[in-house]
Amino acid sequence: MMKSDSWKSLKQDFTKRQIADAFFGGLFYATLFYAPFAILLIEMVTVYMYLLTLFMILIIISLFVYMLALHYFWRKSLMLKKAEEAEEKDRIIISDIKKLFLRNMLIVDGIILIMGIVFILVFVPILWV
Amino acid sequence: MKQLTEHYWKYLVVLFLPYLFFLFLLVYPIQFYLYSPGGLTEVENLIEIDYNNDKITEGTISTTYIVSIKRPTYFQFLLGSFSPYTSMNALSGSSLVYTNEEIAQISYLDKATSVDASIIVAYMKAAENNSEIVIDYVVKTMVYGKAEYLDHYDEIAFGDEFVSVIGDGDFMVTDSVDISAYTVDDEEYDWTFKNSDGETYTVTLSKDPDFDKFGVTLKTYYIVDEETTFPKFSIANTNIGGPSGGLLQTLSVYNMLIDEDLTHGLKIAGTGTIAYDGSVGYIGGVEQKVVTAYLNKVDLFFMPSLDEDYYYDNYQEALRVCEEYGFNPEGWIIPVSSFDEAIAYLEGLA
Repeated sequence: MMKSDSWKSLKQDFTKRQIADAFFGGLFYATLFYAPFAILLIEMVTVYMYLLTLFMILIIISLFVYMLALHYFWRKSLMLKKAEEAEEKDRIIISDIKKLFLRNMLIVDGIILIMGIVFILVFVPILWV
Repeated sequence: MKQLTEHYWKYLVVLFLPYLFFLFLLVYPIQFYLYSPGGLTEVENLIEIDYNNDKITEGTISTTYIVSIKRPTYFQFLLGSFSPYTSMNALSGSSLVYTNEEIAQISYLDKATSVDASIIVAYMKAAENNSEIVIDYVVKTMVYGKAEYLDHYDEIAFGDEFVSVIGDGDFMVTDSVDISAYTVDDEEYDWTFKNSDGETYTVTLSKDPDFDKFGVTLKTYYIVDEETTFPKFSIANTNIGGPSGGLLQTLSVYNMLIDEDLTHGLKIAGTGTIAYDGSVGYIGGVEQKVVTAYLNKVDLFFMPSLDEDYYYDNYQEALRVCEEYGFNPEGWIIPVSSFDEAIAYLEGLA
């Protein structure tokens, strides 16, 4: 059977509550994983201010990793929920979660990239007056 | 959430202590300070003057900022030890007493008052040849330091204006110079200050028995009277504190007021405080400022030089820094002791 990579099919596999719960679980663990690295990078920026642009690029890349972790944990949580359910009901997943989340992640990464470039080129010169 | 926690439980248990230790290194402050190179900020972005708007300035005049971290975390300290340009030392003196927030407040007070000093000096100089330019200012005495034993410590803020103190024989002292002469007989006196919102408040301050002082340090500043000063100017909000941009701010403001372009298309930067008589004062963090200027490829860098025999003279320090890092200081690090000297140097480039 051909799997669908739409949010509609995901909502057929899971309830809104399950998707939201999995998202917040993913957000929590991704943030737990990312928070020390975010602090570490900010502290690197403060000490190596003369390499600000380089570190801004590193921060943007680290945000990509954060998004990767968020989507990984989100998907993992959904799969674990389904595995739990499968023991009770004999249901299969019809949505292609991996592809759906990959597409979602790339869109968010694109937004982060644009915001990062705007920050480097516009906000940094304004803030450093 | 529950499923994830159950799935990763054993990893969470194993990683809990290393995670906490890592966070501790990232957040726990230590009693040191750290200086590292920063960058340049064009003065035109900070001070805008509504005058000579058609004038084309080919070069730039910038102040130099460095990164000063008071009480870095263990991790910042570790990072600093890997950087060739970073210097670190244990906190001492008033820095040890003040919180980071208070140090920042003093730093912003220094910056704000240095901008006023720059405007006063530059306008006065420009007014010598242009009768259109008018500069007026008021004298204010402000709170610049607070001792630990100061009463009402939290009520009195840095930058609050001293208004008066009811001295001996109910004499109202309004000049800070007279305070010690009129506060001899009693232990407690009523002081009146004006806060940044313009509200006056009165507090009773007592002398510390050990030091025989009230514990408040006052400093006199000249503040520009914006109502009567011409041309009008505006000052942007700043994230950079400290008085060390004084000389370059003054040069830039002066350049905005005159018809000629003193920059001659050059990237000009520098450091040094400015006094109301136009003399230049010493600054800290010379090593990081020279490195910042070098990394930013400036054409000219003004450095305070008041006494060549003094070991800690900023220019002499700058020469030692250049020697240490293999920079050639010839032709770009310019020693100056006053604003007039800096102008004369730039005019000499024509």
